[in-house]
Amino acid sequence: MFALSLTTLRDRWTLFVGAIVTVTIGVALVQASLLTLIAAATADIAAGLPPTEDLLVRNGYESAISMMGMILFISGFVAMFIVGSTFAFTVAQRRRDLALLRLVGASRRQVQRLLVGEAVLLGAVGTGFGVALGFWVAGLEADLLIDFGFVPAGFTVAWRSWILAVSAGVGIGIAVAGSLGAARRAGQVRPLAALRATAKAERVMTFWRWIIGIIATAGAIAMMIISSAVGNEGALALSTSVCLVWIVALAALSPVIVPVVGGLVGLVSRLILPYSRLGELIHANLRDGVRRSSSTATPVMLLIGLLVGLSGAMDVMAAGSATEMELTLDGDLMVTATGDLGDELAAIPGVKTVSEEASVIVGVDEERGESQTNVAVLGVAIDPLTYPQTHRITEVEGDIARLDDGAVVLSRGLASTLGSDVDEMVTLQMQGVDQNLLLVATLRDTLAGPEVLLPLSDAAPGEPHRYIVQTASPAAAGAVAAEIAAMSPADPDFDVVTMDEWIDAAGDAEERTSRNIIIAIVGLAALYSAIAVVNAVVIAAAGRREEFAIARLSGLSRAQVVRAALWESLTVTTAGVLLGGAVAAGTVLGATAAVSEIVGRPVEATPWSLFALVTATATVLVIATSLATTLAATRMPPVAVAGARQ
Amino acid sequence: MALANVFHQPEQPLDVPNPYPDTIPPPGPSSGPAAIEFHEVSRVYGKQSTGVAALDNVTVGLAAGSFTAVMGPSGSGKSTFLHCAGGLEQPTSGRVIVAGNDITEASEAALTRLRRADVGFVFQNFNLIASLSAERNVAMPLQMAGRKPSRREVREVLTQVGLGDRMRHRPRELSGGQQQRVAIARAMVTKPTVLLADEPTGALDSKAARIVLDMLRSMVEQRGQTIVMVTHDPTAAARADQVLFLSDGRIVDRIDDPSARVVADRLARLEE
Ligand SMILES: Nc1ncnc2c1ncn2[C@@H]1O[C@H](COP(=O)(O)OP(=O)(O)OP(=O)(O)O)[C@@H](O)[C@H]1O
Ligand SMILES: [Mg+2]
Repeated sequence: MFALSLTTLRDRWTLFVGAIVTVTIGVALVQASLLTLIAAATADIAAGLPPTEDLLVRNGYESAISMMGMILFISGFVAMFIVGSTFAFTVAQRRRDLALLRLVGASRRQVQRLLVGEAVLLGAVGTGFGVALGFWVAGLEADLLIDFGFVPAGFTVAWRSWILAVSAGVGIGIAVAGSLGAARRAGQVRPLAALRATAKAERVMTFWRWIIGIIATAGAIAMMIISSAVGNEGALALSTSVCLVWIVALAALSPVIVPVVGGLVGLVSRLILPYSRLGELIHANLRDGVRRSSSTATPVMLLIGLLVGLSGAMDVMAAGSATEMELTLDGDLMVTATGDLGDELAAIPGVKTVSEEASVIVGVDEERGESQTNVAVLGVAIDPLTYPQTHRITEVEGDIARLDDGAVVLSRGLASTLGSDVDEMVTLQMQGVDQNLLLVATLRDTLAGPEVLLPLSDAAPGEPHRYIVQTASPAAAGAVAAEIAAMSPADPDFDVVTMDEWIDAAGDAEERTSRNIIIAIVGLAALYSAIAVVNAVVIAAAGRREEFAIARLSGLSRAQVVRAALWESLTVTTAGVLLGGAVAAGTVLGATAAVSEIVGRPVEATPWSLFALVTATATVLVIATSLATTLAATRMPPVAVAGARQ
Repeated sequence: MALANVFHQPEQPLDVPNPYPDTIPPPGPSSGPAAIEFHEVSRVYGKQSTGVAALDNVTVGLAAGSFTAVMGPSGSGKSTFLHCAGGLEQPTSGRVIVAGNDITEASEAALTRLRRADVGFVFQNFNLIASLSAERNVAMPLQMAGRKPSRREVREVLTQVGLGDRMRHRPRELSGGQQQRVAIARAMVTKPTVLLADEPTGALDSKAARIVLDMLRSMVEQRGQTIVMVTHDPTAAARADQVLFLSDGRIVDRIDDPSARVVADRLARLEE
């Protein structure tokens, strides 16, 4: 039986190479993410670090672990999708051969065994390459984690031999899982299908696709309703899950949706473009090639939905924090210095209020299920008298004025995590030492913090202090700033900027961080999707040599055939872009609603530029691949090709 | 061979009055068991009420060891007849019996067994697996049946069809006539009781067609296999023991011991 697979390999190697490539990348991503995750979880933390630094390093690892978990999940998710759709596609392309086998006496079981056997073989080969590639990807992921500051330099990912078994399980597992459905359907191919010159295309929209599609759609809608009800941070977390569930739904329903959207796109393009003689052919091909269309559109949708959706949600959060800062901070200038400048600043004429503060890293024991984790939380040491004048804050309970040595103010969220009420004692670690503090007030939850307010005396020595300066009249701010700058103490940290500049810089920094996180989380998966787009176009064209030859024999020029195929691919890509755009829009809108709710003011951040960039990239990829493959598929004179099969 | 005997009615005459007494050929004397029997077989495409009847209440029996040609205008139901005989299509009503098995309601597994042991197919467009050599194409049915085909066995069959030196060629490296001979070798290798051929010479020139027909003829005469061949070519039909004429899904005539001229005349009248 395998002789058939092996000889088919000669003729249709693009199919098999395509399948192997998808398995390879899937295995590489999963293996690398898993190894990196374990490396982060078991990393030795250098002894003898100062307590606060130690806490930060530990927390960096914690974030790295949860991020790698996310990456692992998304990689597995994308791999399932892409491998499944590729395998289904390769089986569909060989429908006629399989019907022929049935005609000469193959049973259903034999056809299925052949395909599953093939999947095992392709999965194994893909695993082999994937393990090697995964080694390299793990290095890449480790570098990313170091570059983005999650883990200290020198972090390495160790090889573990048992990962071989896991990778083989993953590679062969997804290959077999991906081919099972296709194999089952191939077993049902009737022998008569071999006799029809243009065998009626198999039904692409299967029962299971309907079931999965409908359940996922219902789930996504339910999650959107819930997220509007839970509000705040819960909603933010949900919006990413909603993104993934929408992707599942649309991918499952793609054989129904893509032709409809493709038809609409075709209609619109025919209205815009002058009448084309090829229009009808393109339209008919789109209608006929449902499998082909949805195999190409699905990775495009995945690419746009994941990348634009998730990074859009992060952008919204960054914009939300910036808006929040603007709303909260009430000052004209921001001065940074290590030495104590408070009195000198207050003495400058035109200065109305100076509020001094310094960042503090506090350790908090959070209950997570059974275990307790020591989490680093960003706090601020403040002067309780001037702080309320320069920050528009809202106490939920208690009074910030009572903040004094031995007391603390927490955000309401953190207070409830710790299970403490106002006027109760809470335990925090400062500089690695447990401190029992009296909770004197709770504040409304915010996006950007701070979650902990402490008296100024708790600021760590050597930590730069910030001075928020209010001037008597904002018009005089320039003059005051000049005067402050003229103080120029011998202090490398000394700096004076306007409040707007400071907020912009902080916003930029946050945006950079969130960009980094997105690149780390979905960058590789997006790359994978992009490769899958190319793959689908290649496989599609490879299966159409005969069709192209017949089109040319019926009077089309080679250029016309190439153009028709190109338009068809572009239409399908547009359908994928629209669907992915819909997923992204849903995700971003969900995040926008949640963030606006937290900030208390409408926040807007639409990732148009990223959307345009990703769309352009996908389009260029499709154009290049479609041209190259169609040109290759029409290189031989049509008679040679059309004659070859008969 | 007693050509008059090859056409025969089913053993049990059916009680249903024949609605087309003029068009059904008179029953010939029965001789031995039939390899293929159609009992009031209809095949309707589309809805029963509005659909096209590709086969309309066909009752016929084809004796074992006979060579039957089926002719008729395009769209008259010839291919449908063949497909029903081979279990590739289910009749809408009626019963089909092949090599003693009632295949009307046979399961997929039973049909697979039938294709392995009792029925072979040859089609106008050869239907070879493009990626496999001639040799492997021929070996395929044996392999599917779970046998390890011996080199010798396959070579023998290919030699019989005159392609002993082309074993390693792939279909695209063979001429149309050679490809058709490979397809026939593939159908011969399992020694099926019944060979169903749909326009096997349709794509061939007259010389290549003659070689193919010689091969079919010898399968009937030397191995006693039963052959049903759909053709548009009166010369090809003349090589059969009898010719059935289909029109609008009904058997409208039968000629025993045909000659090309008689067949051509009859066909011309039918197509008028
Ligand atoms: N799958 C199908 N769906 C609908 N109608 C069909 C189908 N297959 C065949 N028919 C119709 O059934 C009738 C008989 O078809 P069939 O293929 O048996 O004709 P034929 O005698 O073999 O013709 P030809 O000589 O052109 O091959 C035709 O009218 C045809 O249109
Ligand atoms: Mg026909």
